[in-house]
Amino acid sequence: MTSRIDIVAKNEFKTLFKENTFILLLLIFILMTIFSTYIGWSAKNTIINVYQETVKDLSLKGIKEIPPNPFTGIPDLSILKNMIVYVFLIGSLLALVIGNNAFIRDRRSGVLRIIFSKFISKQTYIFGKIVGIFETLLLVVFISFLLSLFSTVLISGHFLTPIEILKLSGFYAISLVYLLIFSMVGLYFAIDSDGESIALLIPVIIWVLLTFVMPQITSSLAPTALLNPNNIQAATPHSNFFHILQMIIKPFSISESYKEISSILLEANSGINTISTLQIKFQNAVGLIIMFSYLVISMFGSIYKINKFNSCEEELNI
Amino acid sequence: MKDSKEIVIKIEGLTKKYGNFIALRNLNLQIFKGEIFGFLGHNGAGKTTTVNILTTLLNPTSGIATICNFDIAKESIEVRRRIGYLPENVKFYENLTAFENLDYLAKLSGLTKTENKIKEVLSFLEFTGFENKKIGQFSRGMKQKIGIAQAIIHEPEVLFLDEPTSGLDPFGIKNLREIIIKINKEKGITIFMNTHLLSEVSKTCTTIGVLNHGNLIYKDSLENTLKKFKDDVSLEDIYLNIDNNIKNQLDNRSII
Repeated sequence: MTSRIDIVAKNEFKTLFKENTFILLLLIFILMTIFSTYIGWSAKNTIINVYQETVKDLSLKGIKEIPPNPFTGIPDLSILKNMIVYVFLIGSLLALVIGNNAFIRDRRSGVLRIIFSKFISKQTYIFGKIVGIFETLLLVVFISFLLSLFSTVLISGHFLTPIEILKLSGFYAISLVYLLIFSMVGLYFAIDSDGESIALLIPVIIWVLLTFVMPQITSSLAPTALLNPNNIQAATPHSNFFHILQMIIKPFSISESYKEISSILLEANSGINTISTLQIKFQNAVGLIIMFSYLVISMFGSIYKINKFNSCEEELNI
Repeated sequence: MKDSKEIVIKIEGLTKKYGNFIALRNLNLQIFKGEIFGFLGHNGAGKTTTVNILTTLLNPTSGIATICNFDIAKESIEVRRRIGYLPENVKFYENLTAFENLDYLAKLSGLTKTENKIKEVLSFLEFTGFENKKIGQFSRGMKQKIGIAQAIIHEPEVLFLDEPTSGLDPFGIKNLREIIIKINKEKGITIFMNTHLLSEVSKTCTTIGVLNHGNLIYKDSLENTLKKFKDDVSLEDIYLNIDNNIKNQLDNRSII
């Protein structure tokens, strides 16, 4: 059984790298990884330059109380904080396309009849697809990890400490889990839908819901918090309605959980938390559990759906 | 004489319903080892439904069927190990080469070392030199040959062909006919072929069966059929006679 899973997984991996949509999204993601370090470094330098100019100006005016450098004590990893946004915007879309294409490609090409007449069960086949998707995303995340690591070292001019490398690894591990959720959602609807368009449209709607709508509701009327990984700006208005809404929805808003956990790992929020450490730990533990629940539900949903799938009616409506 | 032969496909009371529509009605059929069985019938007669059930792609509503003594419902994986299948309008991964497609499908058929097997089967089909071309560049006839290659690469005991000549030009049809006979003669594979082309049946098959609205109305060897209907000019006339329910004129033993 394992070797059959491996055969399907390898084929999935090989076929994906021959698809233009995947290659394009992958290139965008890799470029964004490189740019994220550069943008973080550039923003830091700009602020430092402005600070130094201000210090010079204040000194010339004879002012003795100079404000501290805003980057004093801010870890090097924080220059990567833009990666959080790229993962939950572009990465999740890439993952969704990977998961969706994994099955749609086979339906569209019409090979399912042949495959399911072979010495392989539907469950083994879908396990193989899931492993193939996992391996692809693992490679994407690993490339991104290496690029982040090297670019940070290159830009900061010194090696990261083991703790920092561990935190960076943690960030990419949580990113992998986050991306897998979207790929499984894509896979589920590729199996469940009758038409190719609807098979992609529904996951995209879910992506919009999880990426934009839910954070908008839970960060309630604090629009800067939607994309910004710094949760200090996500203060909710003083309204019972929004507080209750936030309490109910927030645990299920995986993009917010992802943003918060990631910003802690990349130390993007260091020293500026508005809520207690214990509360953060509890919220993030719940967020992590919810993220894994999403992953497990969508994965087992795909396995359940494949058993119901009729390969004799594989022809897709466009 | 047939009783001494090994039964490869045994179907008893096979029925398939789609809601109120009965696609296949109480089908009983036995196919013996080494036969090339031509399953005739007009469009929508239930031929593809039968093949879909026998290849384990579809579950029957009732009835049982065995292939090489393995139950298609309870031992579907064992059945799949012993069959090859060429669907109508065969399709592949267009982005992959012929070799990559065959490699994947051969491995799913249970083969581990595929390279030599692929060369061997393509040589058997006299289709070499195209292994490294993408399937997307192939003509219909070329895809059909790759389709046959994937179906016989693991040397199955039974080969199911669903309208194999559909969409082929006359040269392609002739070529495919020769291949089917070669597979049967040289590899000893039993062939179950769905078709509505009588010319194909008369030149390829050893036994024929006629399906009409889900009912099997006739089954006999091609030789006996031609003898029984000697007054008819061609197999086409015979088919029309059978299809027009002239089964009363037939010998009772040959009516199913």
